[in-house]
Amino acid sequence: MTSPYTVGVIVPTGVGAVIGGYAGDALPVVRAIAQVADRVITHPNVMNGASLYWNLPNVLYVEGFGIDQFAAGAWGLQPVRRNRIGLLLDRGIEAELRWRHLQVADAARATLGLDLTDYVVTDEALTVELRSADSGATWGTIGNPDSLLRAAAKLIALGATAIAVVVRFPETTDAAALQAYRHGQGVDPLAGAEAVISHLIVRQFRIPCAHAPALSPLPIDPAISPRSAAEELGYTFLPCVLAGLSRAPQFTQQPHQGIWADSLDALVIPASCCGGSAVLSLSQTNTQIITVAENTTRMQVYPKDLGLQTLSVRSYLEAIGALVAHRAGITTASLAAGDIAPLQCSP
Amino acid sequence: MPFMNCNSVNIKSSGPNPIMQTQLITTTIPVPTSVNQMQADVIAALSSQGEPLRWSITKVQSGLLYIEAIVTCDGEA
Repeated sequence: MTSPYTVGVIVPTGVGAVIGGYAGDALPVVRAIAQVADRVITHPNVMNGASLYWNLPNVLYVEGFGIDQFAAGAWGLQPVRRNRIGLLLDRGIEAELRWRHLQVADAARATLGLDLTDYVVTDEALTVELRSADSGATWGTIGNPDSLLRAAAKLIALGATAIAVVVRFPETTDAAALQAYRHGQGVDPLAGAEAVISHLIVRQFRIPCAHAPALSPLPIDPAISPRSAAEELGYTFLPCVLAGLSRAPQFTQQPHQGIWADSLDALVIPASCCGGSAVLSLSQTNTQIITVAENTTRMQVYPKDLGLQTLSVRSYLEAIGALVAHRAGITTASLAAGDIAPLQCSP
Repeated sequence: MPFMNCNSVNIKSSGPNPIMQTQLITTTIPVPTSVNQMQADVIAALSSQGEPLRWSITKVQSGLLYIEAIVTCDGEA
């Protein structure tokens, strides 16, 4: 008997990944990998398609800060049957937009049977500022992080075991960047700031968390890319967040409870994204890191740049084959065309 | 099924000073001789400017790691 074959899938947020850099467009990758793995660990950026989501019983929905802690061996993941979700709303959200989000939450209770606490509104507007760095990645800063954390603490006191955050985001002033994103090009202008919000809560409270931005609806555009179209469907991006959090694993620091990094068999990442915390942590373990070349991003950190030992593949289809071989204990060299070099006597 | 209610208890500020701030940082450090040391070196470089919250090496060029990060730090109210 072997332990459950466990695969991590990371597509970093806000780096312009051609697959997974838009609106839930890496979800098909995870759906496919979930067929060849016993367990998949991934993060909201991969799973969230605004009003669209897919329930995968063997997928663990883990916010990025939690993934980094898991990869470092600091936190384990404790699967749960359900979470009680606390809805945290930014005071900066206008009344009509707030109602839209509350009705999504009530609808999730009525149609999906999700369990939510009463909601909390922050005591100050959170005031997000969108930023773009030299690399082309998007980041963001939060004007009132203390207010965010006070509201999260209140929800936890109300019994929340996971937190869905909705923050009013500025209407993007860079019209060209927004249009490029809606047309399936460029970098998601919001994604980096979203990650900062959820990281703050997970770092402080060690609790599952995910974020949905509150924005005014955009004018209709017939040229919207299918990769971005999920965010055009409704008034909010909240449904996928509630669905994901409803079964997101809890974090544990009890060594003999839950799933730990030493049980992660493989990690699949874009080839240019080797410079993140989780990858660096796992590069020091037995986890097989598989890098996918065709999922290009604005990052420029390849395995050879850092001296990492990885298995390089061209596509996610090839990565899935590599996972099947790895799971079966078959060396990939045995599956490739060409001669297999004879064994030599080691000096 | 009743509507969700807004919790009506006011949330008090934890105190007048200090308040947390989030800052975008870009920096470079020399490439460590060992990959084992890389993450520790990145965190040490960022920690001089705040508590690292989210970071990434974005490129490696001319013997330097280029790093972008968000750090949190205490500011004035």
